[in-house]
Amino acid sequence: MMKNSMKTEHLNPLIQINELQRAQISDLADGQLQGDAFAQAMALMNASGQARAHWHSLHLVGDVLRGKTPVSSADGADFLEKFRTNMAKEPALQVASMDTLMKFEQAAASNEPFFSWKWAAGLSALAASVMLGLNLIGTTAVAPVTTGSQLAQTSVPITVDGQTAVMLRNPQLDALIAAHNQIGGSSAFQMPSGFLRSATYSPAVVNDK
Amino acid sequence: MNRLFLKAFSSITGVFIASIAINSIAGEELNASKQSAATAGKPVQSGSNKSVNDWLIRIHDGSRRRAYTGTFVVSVGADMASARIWHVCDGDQQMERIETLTGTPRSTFRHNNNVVTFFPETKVARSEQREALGIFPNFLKSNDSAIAEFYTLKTLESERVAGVDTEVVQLIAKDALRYSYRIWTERKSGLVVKLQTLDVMGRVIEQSAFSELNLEAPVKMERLAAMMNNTAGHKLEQVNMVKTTALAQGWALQRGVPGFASMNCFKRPAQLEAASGATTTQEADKAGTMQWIFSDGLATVSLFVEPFDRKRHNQEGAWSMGATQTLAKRLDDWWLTAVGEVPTATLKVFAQQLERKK
Repeated sequence: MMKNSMKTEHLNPLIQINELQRAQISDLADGQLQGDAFAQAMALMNASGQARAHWHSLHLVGDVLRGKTPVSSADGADFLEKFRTNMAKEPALQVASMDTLMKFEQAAASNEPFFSWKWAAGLSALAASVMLGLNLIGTTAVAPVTTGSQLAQTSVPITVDGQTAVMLRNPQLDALIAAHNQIGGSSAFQMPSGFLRSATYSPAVVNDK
Repeated sequence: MNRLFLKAFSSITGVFIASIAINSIAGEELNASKQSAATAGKPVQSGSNKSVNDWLIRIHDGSRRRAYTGTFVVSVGADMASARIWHVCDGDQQMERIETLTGTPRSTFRHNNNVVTFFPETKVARSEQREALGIFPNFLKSNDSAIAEFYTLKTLESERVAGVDTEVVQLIAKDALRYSYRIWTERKSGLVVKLQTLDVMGRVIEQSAFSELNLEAPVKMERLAAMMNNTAGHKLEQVNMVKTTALAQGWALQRGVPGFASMNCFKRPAQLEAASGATTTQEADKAGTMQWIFSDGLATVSLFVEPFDRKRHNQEGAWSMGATQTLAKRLDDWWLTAVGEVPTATLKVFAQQLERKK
């Protein structure tokens, strides 16, 4: 029921289109529109059922000209609705409903056990680092210098559109992230905690020349 | 007609899908912010606002009243980093020493807003003023702070962390434009002992915590001050940010992003520009990068805008490292890099709203 009402809202058959607007739809189909003209044509497609019907007729002719079985749905709104539904499932959007957000109130973080485990494992590994670090404090020993080019070749695990990936370290991007951490990466409760955080964890080290 | 369809057919679906995708993203982002958009930027005087702000002021002051040492561990995605912390206070004077135990060796000293970072490997000492460090107590006390409008404060069961009794609260984001936080504070002082950042699905994406904490440790301010001032043997780099305004640089946001207020705007110093890829200081000076900083009181967003350079700016996209998201995008003759502890969707809203005024 809700889907039907949404369709009606997006496709108003009462909104008629003129010849100029038909030409706009054709240009859109031809991939010729950009910027404001593109936005206007899309707004027209969203508002007018007739515009959508015209789009469909163009699409149908295209199918026939290519010698294929027409794949266009008689009702473009079905496609749009399915597409919107699929888009809503895309993790890259990182947008959750208020219902999801409010689940925080009832439940602990879903990956809390993983973090606890990783925390313990990390601390074990850290023990050696602590000893080494304490030995280093106050000494003047100079370790081999990391060069900019070495930095550029460093790879780091990142998340791109919800997928784990590896990105080559980009010194220019690193410098901006470091600048954000230095100037902006503090907030009401994260200061001084945020300062400690950015001083402790700095994936971008601009001084390594 | 034939040409039109043969050409269009290969691109028509892509064009259509892309355009719907844009509409869909923008629509969902706007829906996500709809509830708070109507009241964005307005002062709030509700009781809940007072309690959230009072609580934040308490934990802000918590660290100022105590001397302590500890080991601090930050977990970001697959990375873990750790540092040894010394903190001491004497009235209004705050001093801190942070020695990294992992990654590139460096020592950071902070005396109020003055920060000096020593890089022993390169024998560089970088000195800078961090004006933003002093902003938030005043921000919280001002009418511009509307944190309670965008976050709900919820008290959880107390826990024992790093050997101290803590109170645990959760700041739950009311919309999808920001992350939520879970904070453990030492019961008596309000010192933040552990902090988790949670994404919109409730997953922990970053954690900072003391693994060991020694309150009332005998830390000497004079000793830390002497170490901070001892830059002998180091090449001293002074980082002087040039304060400016976005309007003076020719930029504005169309409507603003709910809850986020402009906090500061700087012109990046030449040496960092040079380090970031410009080949000469003159080139860096000419290029210049504006850093426009926004905050909703808890999260911060930086918009870096610089002239588009085809050689350097060849990778548009969005990347995630723990709670820090990055979005790089070309805006006509300009290149935008948005960085913040907010969902990528929020950075997209900023990018959509940024417009050239000159």
